[in-house]
Amino acid sequence: MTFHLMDYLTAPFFQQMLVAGILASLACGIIGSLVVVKRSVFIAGGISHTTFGGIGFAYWLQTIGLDWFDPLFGAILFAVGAALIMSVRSLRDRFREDSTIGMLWVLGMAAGIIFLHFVDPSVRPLSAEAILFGDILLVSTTDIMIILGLVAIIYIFGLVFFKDLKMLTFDEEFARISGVNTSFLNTLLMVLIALTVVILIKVVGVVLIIAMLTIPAATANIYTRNLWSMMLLASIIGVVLTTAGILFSSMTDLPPGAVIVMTMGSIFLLSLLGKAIYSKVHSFRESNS
Amino acid sequence: MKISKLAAGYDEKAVISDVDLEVEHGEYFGLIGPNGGGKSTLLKVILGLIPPLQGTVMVYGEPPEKGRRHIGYVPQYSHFDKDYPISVMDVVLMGRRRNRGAWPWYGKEDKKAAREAISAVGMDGFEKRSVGKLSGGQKQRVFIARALVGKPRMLLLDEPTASVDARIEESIYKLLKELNREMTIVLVTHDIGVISSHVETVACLNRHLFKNNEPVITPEMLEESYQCPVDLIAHGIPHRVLAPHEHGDEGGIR
Repeated sequence: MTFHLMDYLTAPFFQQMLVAGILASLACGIIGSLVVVKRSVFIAGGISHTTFGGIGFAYWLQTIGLDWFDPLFGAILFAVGAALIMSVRSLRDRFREDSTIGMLWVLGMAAGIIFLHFVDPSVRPLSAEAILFGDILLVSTTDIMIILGLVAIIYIFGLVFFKDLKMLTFDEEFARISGVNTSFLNTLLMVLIALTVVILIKVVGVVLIIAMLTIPAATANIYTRNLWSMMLLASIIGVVLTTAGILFSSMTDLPPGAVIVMTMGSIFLLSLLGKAIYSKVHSFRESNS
Repeated sequence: MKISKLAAGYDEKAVISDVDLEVEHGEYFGLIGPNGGGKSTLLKVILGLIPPLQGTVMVYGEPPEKGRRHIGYVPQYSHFDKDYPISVMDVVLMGRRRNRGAWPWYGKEDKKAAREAISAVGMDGFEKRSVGKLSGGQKQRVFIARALVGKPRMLLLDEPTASVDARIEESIYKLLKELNREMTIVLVTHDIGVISSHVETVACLNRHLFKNNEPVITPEMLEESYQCPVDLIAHGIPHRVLAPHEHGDEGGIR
């Protein structure tokens, strides 16, 4: 089997795959950076796994006749719902935050399994595995439109509230005494994380979402000195590595989601290694000068 | 700042109670107390972060949610994530949020004020440096600059010299002394030795407040607030803050 790059680049399914991957990377550059600096990775994990329930719910609705209910709508419903539940202050005070997240996480998964059990195989083109590990090969034009809308929402709110989001993630107490409405902003951030998660489902699947959110941002964190450049670099890293991952998976016929994540993971480890070597050399030079 | 009959705490349980305190404008006031004695609870009430269970707090004649705009707050810098990618300038600009409101960008005058505040704490040339890479004393100065940039009438500092070495500590107190010419300074710490040699008035907090209106810590205040006998040792005359006492020639009292 030979690989013809041009054949791929001109094939519509491949182009749509690339567009979805690039849009997802752009959303991740902004939201992933905030998730990383605010240490909300576990929250993002919880939200992403509840979407499995949402997708199951959507297919079940299709089974009982609501054909128009796209799986992504189900994902949005469950992700935003989980984000709002996690934002309820009294709930967080009453129960331990990580327990609440953990419960939503597994309840979402369990709901998904039960819903999928009742789904008529004829309306469900996807296996549970495709939902969990990504089905970027099957990105439709409708999906692209939904993803585009979500990215626009994330960018608008991310830019308008950039200054306050920086304060919130750096020093929430000071933000509050300086007049930032922190409970509103926390909820907004949760909802934006939820929308990013929905975009990522199509690209890498439920289980690998955390990788797209955190790895480019954590890599960018190594090289940058302010939040703005971290977001920019994380977006660039995301776009380049997602594209590389998609190309590589097409060449090797490996599942794209997993290949993208492995590519990102390798680059992150190389960056850490590079940094360690650099600072060793640097301190060696300084001690000799 | 005026606090009367204050009780405050969490979940309806009072951590501190019957606290009466008045700090005049221009004062250099130190609040000491053991860890767990309610210092941070009192701070949170003054900053309007938690409501009082009983009693009232007035900051420049207003309740904390409004009055706190006159306060420049300097939290313990050790709480911050050293990997957070942020420059000195960006941290100091946060102190202008109150002036700027929800508008997404800071303006020229904000940046000018930030540069002035950075200069006032002796950190010129550090504007673009990464805060996470600064030393403890430098970080502390940056957070003081962030508090100053909003032109507060009162500076409120929580453990300002925790985990910095003695030389840096001295330079921070020198800076605070200078700032005291223009504003009230309120210092909160568990370190008795530190506070005693710098402040004008002092109070001890351990669930209740003990205060006399002199820069003197009496053994009675300490014993009441720490609930156990405390050794007071004064090092030399210039730093003496202890009331004259029987064993003065030895410089210590039990």
